[in-house]
Amino acid sequence: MKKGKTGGLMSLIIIFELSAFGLLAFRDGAVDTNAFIAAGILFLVLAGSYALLTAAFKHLDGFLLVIVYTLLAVGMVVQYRINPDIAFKQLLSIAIGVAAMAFIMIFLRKLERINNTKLCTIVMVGSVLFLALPLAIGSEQGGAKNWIDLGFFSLQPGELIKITLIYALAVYLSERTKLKKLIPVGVFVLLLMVLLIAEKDLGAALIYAGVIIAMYYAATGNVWVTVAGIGAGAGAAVISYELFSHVRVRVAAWRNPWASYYDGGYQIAQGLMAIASGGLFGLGLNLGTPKVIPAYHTDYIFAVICEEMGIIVGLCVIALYVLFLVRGMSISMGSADRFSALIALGCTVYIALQAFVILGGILKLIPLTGVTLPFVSYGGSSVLTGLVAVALLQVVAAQNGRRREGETGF
Amino acid sequence: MSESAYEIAALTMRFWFTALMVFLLWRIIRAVLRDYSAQRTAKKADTGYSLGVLEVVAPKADGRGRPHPLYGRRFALKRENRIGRAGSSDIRIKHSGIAPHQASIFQKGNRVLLSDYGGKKGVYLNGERIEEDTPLVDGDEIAVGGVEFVLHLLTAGQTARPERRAIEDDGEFENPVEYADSDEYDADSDEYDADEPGDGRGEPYDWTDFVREGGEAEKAQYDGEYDEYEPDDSQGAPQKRHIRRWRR
Repeated sequence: MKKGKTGGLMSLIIIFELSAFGLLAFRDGAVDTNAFIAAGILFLVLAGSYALLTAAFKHLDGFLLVIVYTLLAVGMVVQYRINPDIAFKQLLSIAIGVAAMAFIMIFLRKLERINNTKLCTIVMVGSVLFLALPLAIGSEQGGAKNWIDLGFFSLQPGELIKITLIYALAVYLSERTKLKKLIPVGVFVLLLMVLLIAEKDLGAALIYAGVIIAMYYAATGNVWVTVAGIGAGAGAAVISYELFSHVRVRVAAWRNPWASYYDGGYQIAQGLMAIASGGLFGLGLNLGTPKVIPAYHTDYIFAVICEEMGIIVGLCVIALYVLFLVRGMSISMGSADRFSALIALGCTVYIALQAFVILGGILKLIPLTGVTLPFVSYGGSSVLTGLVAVALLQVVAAQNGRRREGETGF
Repeated sequence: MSESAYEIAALTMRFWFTALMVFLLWRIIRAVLRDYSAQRTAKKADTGYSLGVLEVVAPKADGRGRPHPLYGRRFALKRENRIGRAGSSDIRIKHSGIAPHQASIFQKGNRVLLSDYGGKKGVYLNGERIEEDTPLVDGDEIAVGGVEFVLHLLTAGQTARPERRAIEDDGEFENPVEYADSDEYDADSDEYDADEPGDGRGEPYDWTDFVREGGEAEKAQYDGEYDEYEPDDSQGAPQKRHIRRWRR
């Protein structure tokens, strides 16, 4: 991966964020120095980590990094526009996530080292306990009890456990494909789903289901079981529709948001109106009215992007997720062993599926689900999990690169 | 800044942000596509891969003045080529002065090297006997046991090796340096051609004999040789005996 190719792209990202923050600094009467501070810290985190990572790792997938950093930058800009305080919190999460990414890339050079059943069992047990934590000591938010409030910041185990889910599935699916031998991970998955439903985090459940089905199909190629799995998922969706009232509200709102405008349809309607009023080029940064949209800085941030920066920029964001999917798939297909390929696939499917689920919900293609837009939405756990997924993808990409160059070590 | 001034600035910069994002996206797409097609070409290059060609330039004539059958023959070079009389050689030359396992031309990293397997007569590069693995360049003259070659390198100094999948490794590539001390070149081994007169190695061969044309020694060399020379169509058949996996 020649640095020249992606270095230019990084400069474009920096130009974007500096000019955007520069503009935002003048939105009120006095000059907002915090904007420059935020821009500066973001520059240090993104450009600094990019320089260090490309220098340290010869086979880094620079494109993946550029795509993710672009999304992070766009998210930061819009969040600062909405609320400078949450922007600084997001900046902290980004910094922690990038550090975690570097840490994983340095210390996990061979993925095979973590491919053992004993470690997997420990991880699975820990994950179930961690996911059960919000039920015990968590706080409720928007009907779902999936958060843990730790004072300064909040944790969402449902997000973080996605990585352990991918890991456990990869460990088991890489070696055995007969259903009988998959019982441990099957039990694990079942427990996770039960906990998620108990916490009413149906969005996360949907993402989990998608990742599980995708990884299972990739590992086994068993069409019948996969179709059965999709059928079971659809059945579960229908059952949840019958059981949970807020699912019914969501579906009704999806079908006609304006009929239930003062109830469930308000969010979708406001989102659609915001996107439409943005037009091709947007209303201009800070000139829109994002705060009338519920969840404007988390799930619905895409609507704010479209309102203020235009549909063209919105389409670019969607295209970036498509590129992420393409890049991740090529990394997965370039792997030599099943474990790495499955890990890469799981991470790619997780990000891409989550992006398309929330984008589809905002655009009224599918009923709205409460998941965050990876890298763009505000949410420490979301950003951290996304960057860990990127880290795993980079580890696999590095393995592929080393193998291709015929070096020893793999 | 006043509110209206900010409004104008923000309205103008809309186009700037849009253009920037579209440009960035376009550059990313273009670079990703180029990277993808480069990988595809690298994959394709792997199948018909050839280092170059080794062409025989001497001996030109046999003892009777007729063109020597070996003269002008060109051997396509793979990533590793063992030169010798043995049937398992990649470049099999049935010439009395050549040992069963004489030399090897192989690629290591981005260089092409010439290696001597330790025969009695030695391997000569541009007139000088080589002691260790020596890099080769296009146009080099290699001489082993009475046969002279000129090297035509097609891919000198290639830096990026085409992608190889570990699972398709068929063991063709072995580290020839491991053979330097091997005792596979055995004077009494029965890998010699049984049709050869005597013990198959002919007269004791002196490198300087070759320079004298029409000399007695040379005549003795070729008398038994070219009758037995048959077109050797075993070149290119991958030989897999004595394979050790190349450590990647």
